[in-house]
Amino acid sequence: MSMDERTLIIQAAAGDADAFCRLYGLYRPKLYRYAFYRLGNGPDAEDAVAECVLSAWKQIGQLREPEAFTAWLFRILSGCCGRLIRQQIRRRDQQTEQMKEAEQQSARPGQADSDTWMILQEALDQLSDKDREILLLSAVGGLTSGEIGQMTGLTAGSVRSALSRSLKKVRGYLE
Amino acid sequence: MTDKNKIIDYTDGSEDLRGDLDFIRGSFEEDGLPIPESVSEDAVRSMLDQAGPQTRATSEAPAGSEAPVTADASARSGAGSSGSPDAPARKRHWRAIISVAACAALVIGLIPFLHSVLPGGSSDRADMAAGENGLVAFESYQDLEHELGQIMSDREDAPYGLGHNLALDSEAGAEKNEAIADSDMAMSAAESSSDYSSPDGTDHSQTYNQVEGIDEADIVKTDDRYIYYLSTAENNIIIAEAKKGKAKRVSTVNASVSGYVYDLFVRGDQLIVIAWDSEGQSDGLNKGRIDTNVTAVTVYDISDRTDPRQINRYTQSGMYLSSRLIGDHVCLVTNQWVDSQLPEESIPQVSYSATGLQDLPIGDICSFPKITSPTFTVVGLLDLSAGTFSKDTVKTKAILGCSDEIYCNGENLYVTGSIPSRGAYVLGSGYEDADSEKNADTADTDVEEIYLPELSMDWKTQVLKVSLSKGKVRCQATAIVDGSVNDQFSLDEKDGILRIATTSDVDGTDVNNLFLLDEKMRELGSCRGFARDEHIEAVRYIKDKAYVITYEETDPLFIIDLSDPANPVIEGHVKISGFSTLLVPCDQDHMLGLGFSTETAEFGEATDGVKLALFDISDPSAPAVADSKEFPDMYSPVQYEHKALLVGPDASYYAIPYERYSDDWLEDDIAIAEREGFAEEDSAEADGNYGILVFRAKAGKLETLQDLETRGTVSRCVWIGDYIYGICDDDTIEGFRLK
Repeated sequence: MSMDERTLIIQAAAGDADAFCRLYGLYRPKLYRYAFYRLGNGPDAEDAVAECVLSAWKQIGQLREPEAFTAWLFRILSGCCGRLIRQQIRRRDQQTEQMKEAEQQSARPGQADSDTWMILQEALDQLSDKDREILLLSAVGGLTSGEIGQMTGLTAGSVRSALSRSLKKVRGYLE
Repeated sequence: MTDKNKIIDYTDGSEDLRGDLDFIRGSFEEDGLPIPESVSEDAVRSMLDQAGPQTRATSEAPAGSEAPVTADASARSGAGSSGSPDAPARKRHWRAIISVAACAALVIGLIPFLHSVLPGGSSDRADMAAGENGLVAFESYQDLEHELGQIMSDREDAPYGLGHNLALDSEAGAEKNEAIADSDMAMSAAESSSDYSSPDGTDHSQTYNQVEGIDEADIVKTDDRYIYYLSTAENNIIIAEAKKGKAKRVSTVNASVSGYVYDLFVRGDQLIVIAWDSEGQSDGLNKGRIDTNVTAVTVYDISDRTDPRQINRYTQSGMYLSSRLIGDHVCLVTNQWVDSQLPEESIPQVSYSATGLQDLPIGDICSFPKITSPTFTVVGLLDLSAGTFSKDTVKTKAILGCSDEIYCNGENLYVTGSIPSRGAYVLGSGYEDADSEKNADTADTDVEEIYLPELSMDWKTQVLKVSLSKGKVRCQATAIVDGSVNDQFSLDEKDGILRIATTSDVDGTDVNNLFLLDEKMRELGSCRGFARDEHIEAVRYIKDKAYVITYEETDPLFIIDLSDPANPVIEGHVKISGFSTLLVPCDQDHMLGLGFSTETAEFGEATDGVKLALFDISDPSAPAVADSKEFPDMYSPVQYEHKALLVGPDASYYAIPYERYSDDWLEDDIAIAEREGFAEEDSAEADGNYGILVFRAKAGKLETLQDLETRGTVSRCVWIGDYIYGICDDDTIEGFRLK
């Protein structure tokens, strides 16, 4: 963690909204990417990031360890995504195939089909939600297996073996 | 073997994982994913302006704040007004905070470690310094502080030394150790049987423990009337009365910690809560230390379940690793990292019933001879029958050296820690022949690149034996064996002999080993190099046999005869697809394996669900697969965590929480919904993707008894009388009557 980021965290924790926004700027691509791949579509990802940011802003005053910020933030985001996934499942139960197809179309941010993100999305579709979460926390969030373990209730070793399997699976698909 | 059939390397510690991770990270970074304006910084700024105030735990800034926080920083923001001390407590996310603190500890601990693992400068004088028990004692706090400072400065002076060998070569040190060792041996010889009685278990379940009678702390506990469970959302403990399948909250125990709750025990009318706290800091008792990560054990009197009262509290330095309840005693193991900025202020501390943190006496601190990670393992043994905690009722020892897993049989505690072999590949530093200057920089600045020390290829395991008998903590002996342990089940002690199974790396290939060490931790015999190219996924010891599951393509179960400790012999093995991660003895002739089913994909083997396997072990020379069942697209926490297994009365049934993730069932449900036109409220029920699977392993057959669907994800299940209760992630409890 850079000194600048550390300073921003401390200032944000003290109630400085400008510092918080600058801090958010550093994490924005990671947060959105995590939510997008976890949830599989843009609109839900936007909701998750917005909910996460608001929640983080309200709670950052309690954060005692600046070093804890990244995992703390992803913990919040992970919770927001979990809630949205449940909503998605309910929603899908109500939908016909056509509606589902239409939603998937609208979920695409409007790029050419050959974009890496689409292939990545397909690759991640092979994983269970749990495995996908672990992989994203590690590969996008940059969290360690110890942190992910604390978050998911697994041991660091279990996280590593789950991660190892998922990475192989996704890499196999991409290659 | 063709490429198509190439099997995935599941090795925890291989460079493959690192390579895969780098590859996938790179793919994400260049994925070209457009990020919408709705989540831009400006959009967030206007969102904040409309949002309510922040929740503030206290008015102070985060720990270790080195940057000045100006008064007007909080005044400037409209939201800053919430800094008032009477701000309401709200839902907190401490689980993440603590995890990062642990991680920060790890990373900070790792930096000097990264410098020190590679061959080079420091002389190996450890043998001279270590006493008979293999540990190094300190003459004074000055000695200890000097060594801590030395460890930290090594990164600049001799960054590529192989470990940090303690240079305490004074003869006094050696003599002192011998004295410690002598007295320890005398004590251990006198105590051959356990002082501890097994906890009762009549009409309710217990946590699935490795050693019978030695309870392991968990997030859920039960007795014959109540369920006690950790609420992550509320960060406290809920006591619910369970009656005929319904559970009603009777009280909530506020853990009153600034961190978050890890685990709990219930011992009769006592509730024991283990939590992260930063006591020293909030009480201003931390003598200006930056690191105040302490683990608190709080005891509540719950003789009136509706009105729990705090009666005792003890804290010790470090992040929680594990704990055991042994009769009247709780054994607590934590890891405290040495602060790289202030190594001389990193002496482990304890506090009894809010006395304030105080340094451990120097006589209670020692060190492994070889340090790879500047972290203390702190072991506390608390007498719960005592009226108050004090230095007489709580015994604490700290050992300089990191720990990963613990095994405890009540009498002895074994703590294992990984140490790298010469020539190890170290993440963030590369191979030993890489450019040293460049690597030195990398290790200092590029913390994100450092994943975990265990990811290096070639490891040894340092084992410390600690005696816990008579309520005392005595370091007995240390040993180093090749390879890494899989989990706590890799260790076992019988008749004073430690059996330990490891996976090691020989010329880039995994091999597996089993070592037998005597009471003084000297090697008696070993079985080395079996199951080449595979690695251990599960181990169980029953009497003189070891049952070992290794995995690469299939799941062989090996039975190793240990009756002659000098000459362990593989008696037989059997192969089955998939692999087990937990072995559970069912009856004399059968062993149940719980783990993963696998499928062959284009690029190799991949897990695809839950697998149960029943092994017939009646003939050790010819074990057989009696039965097996696969549940595709199912995930269960029991695949990673043995405490998620529920064993019914007299093992009449087993139950595991599960989640199902499958496009197929979604499609099916949609099809059903379309055909039968479910109303909205029905659809929630139609989800059916969470639940508890109840099955039986009897007479060589596996049989699914019930599939209990729940509304939410179940973390643990318990039984009381004829009912099974699932404790869900949203803090609700669902009860089912067993048919």
